[in-house]
Amino acid sequence: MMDMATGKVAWSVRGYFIYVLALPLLPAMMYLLNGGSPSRLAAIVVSLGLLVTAVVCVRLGVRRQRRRALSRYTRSDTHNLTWIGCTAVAVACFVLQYVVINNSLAYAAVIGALGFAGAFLSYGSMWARAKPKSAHGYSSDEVVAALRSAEAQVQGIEAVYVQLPRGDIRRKLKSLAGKTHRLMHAIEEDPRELRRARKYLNVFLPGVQQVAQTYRKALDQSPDPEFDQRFRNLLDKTAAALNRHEMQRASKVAFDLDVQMAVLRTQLDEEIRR
Amino acid sequence: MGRLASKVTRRIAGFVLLCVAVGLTTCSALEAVKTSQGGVKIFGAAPIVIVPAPVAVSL
Repeated sequence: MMDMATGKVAWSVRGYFIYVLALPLLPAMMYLLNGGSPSRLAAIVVSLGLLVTAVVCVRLGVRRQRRRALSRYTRSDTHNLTWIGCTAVAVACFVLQYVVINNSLAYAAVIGALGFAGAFLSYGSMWARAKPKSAHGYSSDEVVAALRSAEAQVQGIEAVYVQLPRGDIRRKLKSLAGKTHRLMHAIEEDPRELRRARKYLNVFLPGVQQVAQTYRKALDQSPDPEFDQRFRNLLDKTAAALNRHEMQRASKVAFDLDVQMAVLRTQLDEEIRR
Repeated sequence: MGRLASKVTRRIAGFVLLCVAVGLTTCSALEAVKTSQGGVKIFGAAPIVIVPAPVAVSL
């Protein structure tokens, strides 16, 4: 369902059913293009646009809901984009009923409300996972806030790298986003990691996101190879800091294992001596 | 198990409501346009509603 290395949610077909439901609008548009009421034509074009928007929003929203649903700490409640998608479905139904089919305002509103309810029941999420109250000195709210903030920053970085031309910098930003997802997963597994990762999440990650956004703007205006090199160096340093963090985490696991084995060995030695 | 049943019920209810609200509306819009243009009433909600439910629910 989700690749922890990249933080990507598997592709799904959810939301495409609205396209199937919108299909009759295409021949209707063809009829009106051959000579029909301009207001009806406009209403059908607007409704078609709203339904396409609904599919895009619902799919993005569902994808983010699924990503959250896998998290131990974040709630899997309905994403804002899903709400927008459901509203777009409702408005499309209302416009078609009122302008094209000439039904009364109240009837159009009822059908719009039914459309909203249908879209929400199909694509919304009603269940929020129970969150643990506190763990390892951190309240669940602190963990959630840190993870949400990190998620927003990673999304900011992802939004930048998809706009960059293919190359070294894009690859490095993508790799950084993947490593940050791994770190977030480690924090979910063991909130003590938050103490060690706090500096990276609060200082370095927002810094990288800000620099990446400014770099993209600068690239649009006047590409400069010197900036490219400096940004590349900065990304290398950030990746090195993250790698160091991962190594510390790995060595801590090895240390814990060593201590556990030593304790067990001592207990066994005492048992044998008796 | 109860949660899964509730999820499936919810999806089916959502599917039915979507078919009724959006499917009927778009089909009726096509019908309204056709009849006003002198066409024959041949479209109903049937083509949409008969879409196999399990496939539609998964979409």
